[in-house]
Amino acid sequence: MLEFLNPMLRPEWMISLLFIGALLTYFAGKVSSALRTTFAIIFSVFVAFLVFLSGSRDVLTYWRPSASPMGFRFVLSINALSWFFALMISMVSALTIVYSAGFGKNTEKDNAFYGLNLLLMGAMLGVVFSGDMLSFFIFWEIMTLASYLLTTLAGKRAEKGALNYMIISTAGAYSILIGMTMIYTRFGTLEFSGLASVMGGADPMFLLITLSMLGIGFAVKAALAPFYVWAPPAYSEAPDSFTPVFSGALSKLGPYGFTLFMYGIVGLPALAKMGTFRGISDFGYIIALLGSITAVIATLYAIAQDDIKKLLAYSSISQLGYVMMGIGIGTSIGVAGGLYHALNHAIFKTTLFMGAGVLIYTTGSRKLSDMGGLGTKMPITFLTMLIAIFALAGIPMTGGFGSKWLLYEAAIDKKFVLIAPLAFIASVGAFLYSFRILQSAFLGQLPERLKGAKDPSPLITIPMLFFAGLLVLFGIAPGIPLGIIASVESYLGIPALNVSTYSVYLGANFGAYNAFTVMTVITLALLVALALFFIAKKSRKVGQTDTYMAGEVPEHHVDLYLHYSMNFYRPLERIFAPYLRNRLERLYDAFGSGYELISEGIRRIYTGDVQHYVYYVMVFLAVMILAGWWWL
Amino acid sequence: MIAEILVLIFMPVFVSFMGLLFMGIQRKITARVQNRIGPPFYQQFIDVMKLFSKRENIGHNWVFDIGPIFAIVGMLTTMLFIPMGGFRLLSMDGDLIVVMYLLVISGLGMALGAGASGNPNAGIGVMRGLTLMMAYEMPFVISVLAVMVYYHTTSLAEIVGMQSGMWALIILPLSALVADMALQAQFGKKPFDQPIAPAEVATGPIVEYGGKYLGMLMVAHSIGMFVEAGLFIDIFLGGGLLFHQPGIIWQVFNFLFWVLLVFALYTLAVLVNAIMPRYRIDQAFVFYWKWPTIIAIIGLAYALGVSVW
Amino acid sequence: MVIDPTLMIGVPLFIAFLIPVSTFINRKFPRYLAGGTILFNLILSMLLLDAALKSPVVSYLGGWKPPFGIVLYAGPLGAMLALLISTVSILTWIYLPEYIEGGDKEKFYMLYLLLTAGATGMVLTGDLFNLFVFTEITAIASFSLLAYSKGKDEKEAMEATIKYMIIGSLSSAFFLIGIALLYSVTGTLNMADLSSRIPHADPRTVAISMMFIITGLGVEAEMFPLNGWTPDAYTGASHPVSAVFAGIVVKAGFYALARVIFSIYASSTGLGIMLVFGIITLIIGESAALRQTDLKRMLAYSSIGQMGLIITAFGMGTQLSLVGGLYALLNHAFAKTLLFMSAGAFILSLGTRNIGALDGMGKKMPVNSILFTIGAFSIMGLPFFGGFISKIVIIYASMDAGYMLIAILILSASVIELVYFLRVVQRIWMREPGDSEVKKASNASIISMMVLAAIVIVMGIYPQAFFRILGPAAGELLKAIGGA
Repeated sequence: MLEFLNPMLRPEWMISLLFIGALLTYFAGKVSSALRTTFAIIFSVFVAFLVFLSGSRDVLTYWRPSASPMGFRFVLSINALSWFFALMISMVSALTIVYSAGFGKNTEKDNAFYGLNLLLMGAMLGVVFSGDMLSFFIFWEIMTLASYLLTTLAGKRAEKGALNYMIISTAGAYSILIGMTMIYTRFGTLEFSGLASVMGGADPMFLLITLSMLGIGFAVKAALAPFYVWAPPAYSEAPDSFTPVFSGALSKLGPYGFTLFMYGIVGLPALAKMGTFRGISDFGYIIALLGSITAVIATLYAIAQDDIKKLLAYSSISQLGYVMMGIGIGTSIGVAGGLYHALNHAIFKTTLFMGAGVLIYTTGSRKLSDMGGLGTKMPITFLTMLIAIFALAGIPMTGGFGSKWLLYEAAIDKKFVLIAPLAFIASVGAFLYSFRILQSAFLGQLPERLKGAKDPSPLITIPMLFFAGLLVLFGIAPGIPLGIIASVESYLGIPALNVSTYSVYLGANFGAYNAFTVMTVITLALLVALALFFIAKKSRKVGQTDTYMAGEVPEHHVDLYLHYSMNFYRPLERIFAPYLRNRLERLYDAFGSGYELISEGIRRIYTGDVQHYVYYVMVFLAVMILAGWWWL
Repeated sequence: MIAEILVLIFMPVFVSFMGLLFMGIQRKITARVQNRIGPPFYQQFIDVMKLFSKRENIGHNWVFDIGPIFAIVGMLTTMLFIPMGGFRLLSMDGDLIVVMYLLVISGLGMALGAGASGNPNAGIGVMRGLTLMMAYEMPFVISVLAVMVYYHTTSLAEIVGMQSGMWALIILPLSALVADMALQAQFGKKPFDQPIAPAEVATGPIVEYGGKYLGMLMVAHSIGMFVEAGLFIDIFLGGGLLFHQPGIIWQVFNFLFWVLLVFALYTLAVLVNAIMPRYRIDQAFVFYWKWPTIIAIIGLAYALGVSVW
Repeated sequence: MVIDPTLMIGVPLFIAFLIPVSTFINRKFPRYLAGGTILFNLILSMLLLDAALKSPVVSYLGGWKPPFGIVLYAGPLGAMLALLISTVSILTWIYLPEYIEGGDKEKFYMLYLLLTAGATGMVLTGDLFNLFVFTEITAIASFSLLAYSKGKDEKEAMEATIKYMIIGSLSSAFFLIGIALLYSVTGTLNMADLSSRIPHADPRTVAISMMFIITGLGVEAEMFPLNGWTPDAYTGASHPVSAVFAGIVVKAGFYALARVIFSIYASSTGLGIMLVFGIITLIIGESAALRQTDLKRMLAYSSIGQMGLIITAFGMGTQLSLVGGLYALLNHAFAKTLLFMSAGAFILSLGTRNIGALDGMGKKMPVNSILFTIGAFSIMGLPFFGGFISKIVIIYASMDAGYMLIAILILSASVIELVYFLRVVQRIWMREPGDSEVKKASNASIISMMVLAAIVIVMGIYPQAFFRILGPAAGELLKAIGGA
């Protein structure tokens, strides 16, 4: 039925459609805002659909530019790995564009917003479809630029965050550039397929240096410690309708880069040459360790946040730490867990940031303590966010559990006693901060001024419901995403995970996780509980303020002291406060201001006094002549 | 098949019954320790029956209703996935990590309902509960990890099976000690009963619950007692399996021994409870992250050393 | 058709002296006369480039053959730079009317034409002494243009002029000494002859002459530590003149430096000096720009930094690095001209050069702000803009040549550059504007800036077109040095 689309199922089509769409959308906005929004939705959803249709079949496209000084060709390809990530990215991007259309704001910046969003989507697809390092780098830079520009649309408050994001990202990208050129000058090719056959034979030292250079760039995007400092301000200050893409899709390019280079190009045997620790490469172990440390640190910060977007931003960093942990471990279970968690995180964090956008739009504040009691007023938002939070916390019944479980199993299997407890604690911390969102925004007392709150338009709720539905589906049938991941693993030359639709079997040393059984049992238990509930007398509903107050009658400032959400985890914060004073940020700041001081000194070289300048010229000449004399 | 279904039905009923009975007995014990007379041992049954037959129940909204329902759902589900004194209901599927996460459902549902009540005491209680969870999970996870590393499996059934020769309690005493410390908080007994602390936050999360809601919570609590203790027994006390011969009679003995062990663990917790004051929540946090964690790490290092070399 | 490069120098020179007279015809006549001449040059240089890509165009002044006559030599490189010079010149000509104050505009146009002619001469000459003469013409025109400022900036401009003149005269003196030394050992000043005779001459004298010439030309090329004049000159000059400095004067000076080192001396020591001082210039220029609060001064330091980058790329002396360096040179010429122009528009409407005053200009002067942003992004090396391509090529070239440290330093400097440019760009777009009224830039100036922006963008998305020219251009320089 859809055969007529077959010629379009090629990477160059998808990317150029989006790039053209970006321009069209931008200029359509000059004509009419409705046209612009329609364009943006059509282009993004259509391309997402194309990506979905294309499947993981191998498609390769070459393009050799004429008159280039380096003599290379550009390669775009679709394979199992790139398709998996492309699917994730296009899904998140397209639906976020639909979502942002739901707000129906029509400001000047919206043209740029939609145009850049399409550009960003195209660039992200470009990164994953790249079959050579140069196109990878070019798309990477376009992606950074587009996301930076999108962040700046938020205006003054995003100033510092956007700047830091751009600086650190650019430094990271330059690190990639160095790594890339090192590889090119050594092997004379930039194509992944060619590199995959020669990189394995390189000496370990060279591999270590290039992988580290590339890794720094990817780690920046993946917000891995110690490079995550840009992420909290950038994620939280970016426009509300862009953050879902930022955290949900864009951050996944870091793990993608690691997976591609560690397993797709260098390969496990060559990694192992760099030295191993209990069967996994030292390089991978360090990544995994950094990932788990990131997970814990970011979790502790997240617990202390009152700003919903900041909280989610730290949570993103923490969850990406998990992803990196799995990818670093690099066993069949580890990579599966990492990739699956990347997918889950893309889905649930997008949903959460979407929900946060709705909450901010409804309440006009980003502070959790300004919200409250919205659960019954906005049931769809509440339910979708609840499901996303369940996935975030890793409660069985949602997809989120499967990936966390795989990650723990991977760590325990290799007896990584440093990584496993860190991962566990970060996960317990995730209960804490995710409950803070529920408690502060949806539960408790409804403030007087939010009495009129209601669910947003279908354009907003449908993407959220779609994602929540996916999470539940994955919770029942983890085999669907894990099947794709297993094929990615066999593409990467890692033993594929043994999965059926409903259950995952890891081997004799592990308990099984049969999602279907779990769901059945939960359903049965639910029936029992409901029976108990309904057998007893029906209850009478009373008002929100009709609560036990030890005899006190709440009259004034009801919102203030009936809704407990200000400084929710104060006792915990008090314990951690001395340890969490943004130490890393301070280090970066100190470096920055240190350099500013140096540059102030350098500036003084130009005294403005012409006598000094003449003196410089004379000294230069004298030194040159003396050197020349002595040399010859 | 039929036998299994019978067990499936019998187990929750039995466990709820025994849980309520134990709680009644414990109230008596506590009273004796504190030189009081205490209520009769069947007091809990009277309470639950009274609560379920209340003529008027007060609710707030549908989220509020979720609380007790999920509390029961979570506990029932978890119970089915852990080996209970030789009865392995669905425990062949029971992965230790799956179980630990299933256990959370109950608490999270409870927290949801409590939050929806709109009572600030409930909010404070939930905060304390979650903080306490983060506190005791640290040493608990490390000590459980020691067991998983030592036996190199995450399957609960496997762990139980491997202890047929010698209990993990004897092999890894430090880890077992720490896990029991964590059990004190899991049971919600002093000095770690901050979440419900009646004198401070008016029983915290359950402050708004009465009538059938409270009744359901009591049932969930009694199942929970068995689940939490059962998990400890499975991990450290060989699943309470005294006899390894096949045969229904031995199985019944095993089960009785298992119930006895649950009772013993619970009594131990209650005895500590009876003579202890209550920590502040931040003190509790610091406590758990200090000595128990250090001991747990030593235990883990020992387990790792033994298993690797 | 054979293009005679002589016309490109002769005609503007002749017209330049005609301009003061032409003002009797009409007050506005000098402007159009100058414009027409530059246009003539532009068309000619296009044709010349086309011809030079096939084979170098050589023309002998007065029909005397070398070594006695003066020779003009237009290879791909020289022709390309001639095209660059006339392009920047015509665009600045379109831009400038509202930015120069004072009545005697015919003088300005005379000097302007003189500058264009001198710079064109610098890139087309094949004779060392002629190079000196044209350098002098350019320098004198630059001094006078710099001083061409009336009103409140007059004092500052005068001070800058004096500084520039002192150092400029020093540099030409050194240049001349170098030429004299060279002549004393080789007996010729024709570049082609020089390169064949130098290997047989006394190496010590040759080396010392090279040091003198490097010092002399390094001043124009903004090489550290010879670039003391730069910040003041850029700041003190009127905006079109700053643009011309960045786009023409410095580029021609740099060309002269590269030409001498590559074609005449073919010396690896010279390349080494370029490499070392290039990278120092880069780091110092970018660092000094970091803390600037004066917009034009910041651009001036950035200009120093960019010149450092170009000098470094040339210092590596490989085909690829030269292509990258030339790409950076083109990009810098266009983008920095664009930046000076749009900064000029900002300053004109705000009345201050303080960066702090730029808050929210994106809302008040959107077109000009976009143009400034495009220029800044290109200098920073962001994708879609010319700087991106040049950065990739240069980094690749330096890694290829084995200079990993250089690559890292270049990229670090690039990050610094990003910081200070983004600070300005973010101010423009992300801050809330004040309530003062602003004067919009004139349509003419916007058009010329748009052309520059378009060039910069084309450089970023269709680099092949430029590589076709840059390849032979780089090859031309490398031929002398033996393709090393």
